[in-house]
Amino acid sequence: MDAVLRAGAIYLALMVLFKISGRRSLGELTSFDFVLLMVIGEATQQALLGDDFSVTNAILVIVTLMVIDIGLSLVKRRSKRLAKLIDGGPTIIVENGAFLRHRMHEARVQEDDILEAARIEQGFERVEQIKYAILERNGKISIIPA
Amino acid sequence: MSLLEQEMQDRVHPVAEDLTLQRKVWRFQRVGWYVLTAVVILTLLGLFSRGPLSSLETVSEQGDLTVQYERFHRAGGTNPMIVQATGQPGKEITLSISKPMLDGFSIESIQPQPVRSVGSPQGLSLTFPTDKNGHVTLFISWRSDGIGLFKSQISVVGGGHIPLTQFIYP
Repeated sequence: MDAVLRAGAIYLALMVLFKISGRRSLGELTSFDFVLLMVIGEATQQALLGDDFSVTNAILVIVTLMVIDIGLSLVKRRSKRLAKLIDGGPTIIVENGAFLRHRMHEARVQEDDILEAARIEQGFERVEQIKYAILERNGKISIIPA
Repeated sequence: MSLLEQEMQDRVHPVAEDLTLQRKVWRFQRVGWYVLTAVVILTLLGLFSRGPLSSLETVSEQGDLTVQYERFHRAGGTNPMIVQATGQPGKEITLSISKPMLDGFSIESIQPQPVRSVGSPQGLSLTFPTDKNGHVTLFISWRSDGIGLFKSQISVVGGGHIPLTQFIYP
């Protein structure tokens, strides 16, 4: 029984925590972010398994996590609103070559982040060359040329 | 319409936005950061065991029993407890630990070992020899097994008692 409870509690806690830290947190994974992600995994591991290191327990925990994940994706397909609440929606942060600064501030995106994405994706030098920059649900910035 | 309001209007092209919801999410994040910071500070203060809010030293009314313990515990963790009792010099002293304590915790180690230990439905009675001043100091390492609130007491048989209220986090 406690394998299911542990997995459920951890799933919920991680979902809320990552919601708080925002989509920029792990969207653009630097090597340090990667290390941080692994450390989070290490910290979670003990709580997930408790002091039961049996194969059965490990499988039960994995199965529970998968059931929750699949279940949630099914519910999200049914309810658009819940999907938006959990995954968020895309946000436009550059419009017709102009930064939308309030939105950028709220979403914790900087000019440099957008210009970097513009260089990598399109080879642009200036913000005027961008028609739209969109902060996507997964934290990546997509660029639509003018 | 102000510039800010204009900027915060929903766009439908190239993507359909729901900024009302997005702003709620942003607000939730702002509040969340404060909550997380508060959690860190409270942890440093000892709300989740080990810290000024948690560590406690209590003396019984008669002054013959002192217990240092933690108010907050975490399931599976171990925490020390130091019990100092005073009895008759050179004679034995019996301490009793009530059952709720043994429901929530198990003794991982106890130093010195009691010369006699008797279990009953009410709990555990441990007998120790005292030194020439009549003191005995007991070091117990408790491992938290249960979850929730445990109200128990430690007492000297024929002497004072100390009520303990302890909470074990899951």
